[in-house]
Formats: sequence, structure tokens, C-alpha cells
Amino acid sequence: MMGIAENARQVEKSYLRMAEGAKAIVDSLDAPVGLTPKELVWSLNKTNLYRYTPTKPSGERLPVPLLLVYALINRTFIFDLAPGRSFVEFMVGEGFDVYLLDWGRPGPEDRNTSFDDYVTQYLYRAVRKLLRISGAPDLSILGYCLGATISTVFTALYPEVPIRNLILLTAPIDFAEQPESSLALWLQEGRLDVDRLVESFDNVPGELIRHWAKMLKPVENFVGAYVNLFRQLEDKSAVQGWQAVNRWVEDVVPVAGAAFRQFVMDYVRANKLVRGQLEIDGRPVDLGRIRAAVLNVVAQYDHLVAQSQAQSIMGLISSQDKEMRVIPSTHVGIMASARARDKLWPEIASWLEPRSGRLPLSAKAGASSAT
Amino acid sequence: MSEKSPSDPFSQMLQLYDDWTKTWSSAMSEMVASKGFADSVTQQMESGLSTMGLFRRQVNEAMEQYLQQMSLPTRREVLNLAERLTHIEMRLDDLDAKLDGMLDLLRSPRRRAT
Repeated sequence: MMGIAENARQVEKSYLRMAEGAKAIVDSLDAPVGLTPKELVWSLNKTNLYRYTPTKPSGERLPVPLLLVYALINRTFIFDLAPGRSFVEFMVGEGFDVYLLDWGRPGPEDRNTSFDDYVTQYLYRAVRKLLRISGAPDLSILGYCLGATISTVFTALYPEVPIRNLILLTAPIDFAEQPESSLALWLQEGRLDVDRLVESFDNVPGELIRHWAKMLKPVENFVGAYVNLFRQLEDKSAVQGWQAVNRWVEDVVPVAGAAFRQFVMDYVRANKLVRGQLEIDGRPVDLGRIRAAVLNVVAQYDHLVAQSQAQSIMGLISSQDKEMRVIPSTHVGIMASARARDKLWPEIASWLEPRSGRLPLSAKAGASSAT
Repeated sequence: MSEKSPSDPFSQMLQLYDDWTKTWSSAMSEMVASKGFADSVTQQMESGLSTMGLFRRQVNEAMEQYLQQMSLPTRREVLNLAERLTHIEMRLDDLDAKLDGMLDLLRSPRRRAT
């Protein structure tokens, strides 16, 4: 009888844990994210520029503002997941004046917005406004994933814009070597008909891209992610962290059709950026014109952006002050893991801090304005 | 895992996943990264997109004709209008920046001194 009672108790306990896990998954879609106080300082179409409220008095803040630029696919709150797990919160606490560029959710009326447009029409104007409202003579840009590609193109296209530091996180730049992955295969010439895809949807649905990304590691992404949640149900903090990341994974935005088409055709298939064949509005995008201090962070276990795609830029830029760090992390872990919080973020802050001080007058004389 | 009672279904499920992962994780990753799988997926997608594109074109044409007969704006016209609004917004932003530049010039100490 004791055995049956014990079994019944175990079954009931397991059932309750399953129910608890299922509730945690459902609740994750409303997980509180992006809570660091911020102010909207500029907007254009759906693109918003936010400034995070400084927590240090002006005398203790670093004078060079930091602009965060994220990809076009997921939401920007990966930078600000939750209190205690927020890169933004950390950097603001370190005395940086942090701005965030949020591309917003493109509608069908944005279907003709190209990858170039994000550089010339949106990022250019956002940087101009940032310099205006901050009053700073120059700025630092941190780009993550496709945001790093956009930031790189921007820095190469406008050498006159005073970008003092450029930080690249998992930047897909060089597509000469394709990783052996399903995504790379699908994007190859002769497989995915990009024109037909864009024609069918106007903007490429985020759900489709999320599905492609998950298919890179189907067992881990479709099953393992949830099993990991069930393993740590007793740890409330871990569950909250999982929920914030899961919300980010699920909360996707469509990619403007023209931008998707151009990225696949010009960047992935033709590799124009690295070959020096990319021109925007008649201006060459020459990586050799990048002279800002560069920190290039590459994730060792990144299954979306291979190391080879992210690291070759180091030999193509003219920056004297450049450094590449290979971190034992994944594409998302670089911003969302405990290791990132404990190690990478302080490393980024330590690299950026001495490069964000006031320049001597002699150095300032050479700085030009973005406008 | 081994500390849990074998009668704990929850732990058994996790154990099952661990065992299953060891066998299937890399096999599945290899399978989806194969050329055969990629060809199959893109063919299916191609077929789906063709059907969808045809259906969409026909619905759009019919809808456009209907809306024109009703003297109502079509989707294409509304989208064009939204695009024009964005372009106007960009021009306003540029004007705003030029105005800022002019104000800076007016306020600059050298200008005030003269």
C-alpha cells in the first residue's frame, strides 16, 4: 500500500511540475522586458531612438555616447532583458550615456525599404540627431548581429562621421566561406527564390526566419529549450531569465522585403561588402576607410554566424586600434547568458571606458560633424 | 537524475530526453544540413509560394477592381500614400537638422562678437 501511495504522490508531483512548466511557457510571452528607464528622443517612420536615463551624475559620466544598433529580425530588448540581466542597465551603471536604435516593426508600406536605406536614411539621421542632442563631438557604436553589419557599412560609407569606437558582436560580414548549415544551404543561389518569397509576402515574416534559425539545431531548439526550463523550475530567478529569453525568441518582427532581398543577393550570395563591390548612392563602401577603434567579439559556438564570417574584417579595416576576442559562447548567449553578464560585459566596458574619455584639444581639432 | 525515484514520471521524462538527445541531436542537425533536405524544403517552399502568389495576385486584382468601382482607395494607393508620408517625414527631419545648424551658427561666440 505504501508503494502505491508513494507512486501516486510522485505522479501528482510530476503532474504539478508539468503544469507549472506549461504555465511558465505561456507566461513567458508576457514576460516583463526592457524595463530600464528610457526616453524617446527621436523617431522616423517606425524607427525610434531612445536615451536611457543616466544613473550617475553628469560629472561621473563618460562624455562619448554609446549607440546600440540591433538586427532587423528580432526585438531590441535583447539588450535590456530584465533587471540584473540587462546589458543596458550594466553599461548605464558603468557611467556610459547609452542610446538605443529600435527599427520598429515594418508594415507593408515599408516593403521597398532596402538594406541600404537602413544605413543612409535611418542610421545616418539617428546618429545626426544623437550628436545634436548629446552635444558630444563623437560617438561609439555597438552593433549586434545584422546590426553590426549595418554599423560596419555605415562607418565605411561615412568616414566623415565622427565614430570614435566601433564594437561588433557576432557580425556577419564575409560570406566567402559558408558554414555547413541548413540556413546557408537554403540561401544559396539556385535554392531559395528570394524574389518570389518577397513578392508573396511583401515583408518576410519573422516567424519564417525564426523557424529557419531553429531548424539549425532542431532538437535543441524545438525540444531542448523547454526541457531546460523544466529542469530549473524550482529556481525562480532562472525561470524568469528563461522567460525573458523565450519571449525574445518568439517575439519576432518581419524583415522589409527589399532589405531581405538585398542582403541575400548582395551580401550573402555576391559577398560585395568584402569584395569591395558595394556602392550606396554612388559612394563606394570601402572597409579600408574604417579608422575607428574596433572591438570585434566573435562567439565560438555561434551556429548562425560562423567565425570565418565575423573575423576576416580585421584584415580589411585601417584602424590602428583594433582587437578581436573569441568568446566561448553562442549567438544569443553573448548577450543573454550568465557568463556574458559576469565576463563579457565587464570586458566590453573595460575596453570602451578608456576610449570614451575627453580627447585633448589637438585631437578634437580634426573631428568633423555628422551634419 | 539518478537520485530521483524511478517512479517519478517527470524525472523519467527528462532522462528519456537526455538519452534521446545523445542519439538524435547530431543526427538531426546533420540531416537538416544535408543538400537533399535543403532541396526538398526549397522545392516545397517554391510550390507553396507559387500557389500563394497566384492566389494573392488574383485576390488583389479582384479587390482592386471592386474598390475602384466603389470609389474607394485601393491597398496599393494607401501603401503609396504611406510611403510618401515617410519621405515627407525624412525631408522634415533634414529641414530640422538644417535649422539646428543655422541656430548653432547664430549662437556661436564668433558670430555674436561680430
